[in-house]
Amino acid sequence: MIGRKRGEAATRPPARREAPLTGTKNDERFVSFFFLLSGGGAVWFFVTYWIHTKTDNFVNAMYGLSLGVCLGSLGIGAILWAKKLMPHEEAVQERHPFGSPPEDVEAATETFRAGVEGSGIARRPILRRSLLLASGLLALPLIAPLRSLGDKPRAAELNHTRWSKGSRMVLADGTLVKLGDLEPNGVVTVFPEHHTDVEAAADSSVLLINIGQNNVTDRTRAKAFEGYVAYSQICTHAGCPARLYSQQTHVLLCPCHQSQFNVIEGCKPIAGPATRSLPQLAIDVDGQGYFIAKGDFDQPVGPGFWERD
Amino acid sequence: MSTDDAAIPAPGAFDSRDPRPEPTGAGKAIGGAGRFVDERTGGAGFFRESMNKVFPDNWSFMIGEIALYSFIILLLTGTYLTLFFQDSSAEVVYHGSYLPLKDVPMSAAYASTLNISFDVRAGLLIRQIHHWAALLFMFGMVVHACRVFFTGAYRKPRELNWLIGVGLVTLGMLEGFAGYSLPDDLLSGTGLRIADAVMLSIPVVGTWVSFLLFGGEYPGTHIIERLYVIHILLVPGLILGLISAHMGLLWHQKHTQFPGPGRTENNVVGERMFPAYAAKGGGFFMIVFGMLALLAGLFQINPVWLYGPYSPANVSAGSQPDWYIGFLEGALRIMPNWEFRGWGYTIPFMILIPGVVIPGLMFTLFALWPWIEQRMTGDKAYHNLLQRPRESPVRAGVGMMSLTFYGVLVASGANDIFASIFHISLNALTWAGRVAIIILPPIAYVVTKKICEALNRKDAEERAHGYETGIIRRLPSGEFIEVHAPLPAARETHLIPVETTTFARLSERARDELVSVGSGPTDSDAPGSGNTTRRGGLVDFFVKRD
Repeated sequence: MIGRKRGEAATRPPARREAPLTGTKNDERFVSFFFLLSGGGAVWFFVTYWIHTKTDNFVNAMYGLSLGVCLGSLGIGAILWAKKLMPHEEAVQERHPFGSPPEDVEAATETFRAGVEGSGIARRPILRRSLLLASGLLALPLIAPLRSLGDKPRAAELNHTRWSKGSRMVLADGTLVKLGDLEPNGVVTVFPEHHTDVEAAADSSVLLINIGQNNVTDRTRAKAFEGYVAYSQICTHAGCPARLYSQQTHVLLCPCHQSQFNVIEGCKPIAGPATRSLPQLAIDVDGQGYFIAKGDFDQPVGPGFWERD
Repeated sequence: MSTDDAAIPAPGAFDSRDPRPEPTGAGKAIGGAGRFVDERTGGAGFFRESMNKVFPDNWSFMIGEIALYSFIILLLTGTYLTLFFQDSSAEVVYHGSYLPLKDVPMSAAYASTLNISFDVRAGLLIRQIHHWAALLFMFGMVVHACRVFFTGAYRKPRELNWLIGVGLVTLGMLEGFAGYSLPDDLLSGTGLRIADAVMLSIPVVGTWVSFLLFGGEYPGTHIIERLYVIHILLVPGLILGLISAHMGLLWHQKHTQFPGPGRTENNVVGERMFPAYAAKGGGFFMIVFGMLALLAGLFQINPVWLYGPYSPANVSAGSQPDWYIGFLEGALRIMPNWEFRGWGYTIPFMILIPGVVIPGLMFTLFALWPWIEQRMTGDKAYHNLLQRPRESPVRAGVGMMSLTFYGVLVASGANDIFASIFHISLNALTWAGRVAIIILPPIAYVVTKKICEALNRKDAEERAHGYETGIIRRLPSGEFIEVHAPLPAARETHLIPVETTTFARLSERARDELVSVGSGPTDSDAPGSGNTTRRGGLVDFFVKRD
């Protein structure tokens, strides 16, 4: 059959048979319905796009529905086509064995060995060692440019914030905070004046809380002003703002990992994974009645790190 | 061979005396294009071999396809989004059409994300398809990994593809995290803040890692640009390379199959790539894409405009990462507050262990599992037939143990949500997580192993004595027994052999045999062999013959 005589070909009628069609006319109509539905979805999408220049929930839903119908129907149609109209078969194919025949492995090993021998690397120690040295030193120009990515971590940045002696407290919009602005049990997030940007907020945002003079204890008195205390709101666990304040229990909650801090007891951690108290900021009120800091925090704020004392 | 073989036409020349009717229209165009490519690449043999490639069919083999298709959709939608997204932390004032944030200062990245969501026509749809597809990509990979694990598909010779798969899951997590950090909204910034704390927790080099990534002290002004390069070039490039290797190995090694009639370790039984398998695969891609479009149109995902621009001083209650980062979040939440401080140094174990050590161990064990199993069983043989989970009770037990460990972490990552929905104390749930992570995994191991062993005993019983028919019979002695019937015999199959080498390389005898399978007159003339006639026609269709 394969070795057909070329001379015969012209005289012999075509031997090729058409494979009989599988499936019924109804199956064909059923599949075609989905293809038409897909086309309809495509037009629907296009018209939605054409008509609506603004996106709102309704328009977005129309986009989703039309595109879903367009693509989904095409997919359903294709699968039905395969299932209903294409002949089903169970074909079998042999797997070729994995791994090369031993003689191939042998030959490859031998070729490699001969190449290594030809290079002389095994018998020329000076060559070998100098190459090893050069390869090792190649790491230097590869690694060095990484240093350009950022500054050296400095103690000044790690251990200090923007607060300094006499910094006035402002709200995020820059408004100064005055004695008497807070209701009893009131709480507000404050920043050092002129430092309300994202960079400063990452380590210098502070919660000023009016806990009332009765709630100021020996532990917090030195840094408090009358009934007011100020704490770093950067969680000592992973650095999220621990600023959900429960007024009844005087507990600060960090919503990231549920560390809780007791404000009355100097923001000592009472639950969750945090290990250290939120650092307290020593505060005062200046002659004009504005809240000021007496200085920076006496310890680093936020998450722990290797060089932290 | 006759002497006519001397008259083999020169390469590229075609026999004008071919008796078949000349193709017309589209057929002619396709044939012409194919000929053009073949004359320059010699690809006809490979093309035919590919169309003839046999794929075994099982519903569970589609799960990996979902991940693959999601990745393609991610590339398509992601490319569109890059046309509108600005990778910049520079502060701008928003003037777009979302009124609640009008005149609010924010980063250019966040403003451009709002722009995509409200002012780019169909931008919100594409953004939401992209996000839903990312969730589905990770979900598809994880469930696919479970399928491969419980059926033992990773056994020799497929350990390399298992390793590549573990690499893909890891990169997928990194890619997803980098992606949802880009909009620079309040939620994504919170995630970055935690990632920074995890970096800082690494002893000795932690602060260096953080300072180099952020370009200085957190948050710096470079992170958006850097994450952008990582998200749209570096990691997707690696994923694309690994997926190509994954598919290439699958193609070369051929797919595993479940045992069945005619199926052996040395063959592969199923449908050929073309046309049915290709139609099903292409159709399934369209369905996945269509489902994602429906989800994106009807179900809101990551509404960044509600979260507001990022500020390190703000956070909202109920902050949740995307689901595939949930296990890390859960680990951070249930870790006890351990920290080492001394000699001027600090090691924050409460971050280091859940953020670095536990995921490191999990993924190391995940990657090394095929070798661990080989060490335990001493099984170094090739395996092309899959197992049912029950066939290896220890493996199934280890799998359920690992999933339970993972599940407790994921659930703990949402413990504040559970606490508020079910009005349970949050602290109680934290403790429940701590206890569950210790005691539930071993219980899962023992229970799964026992169930598998019991199922195996039942199978052995049925093989030996048949299955229970439910018919109760009373014996003359008065005794009642249940009638057992033998298991139905394996159905008969007619498998169409498909050769694995290109036609030209087959020996003449092999060619004759191959062709006769489809066209042998004895086959189609035999009574009751209507199917074989059709199959014969099909072989005609695939196997070139005169």
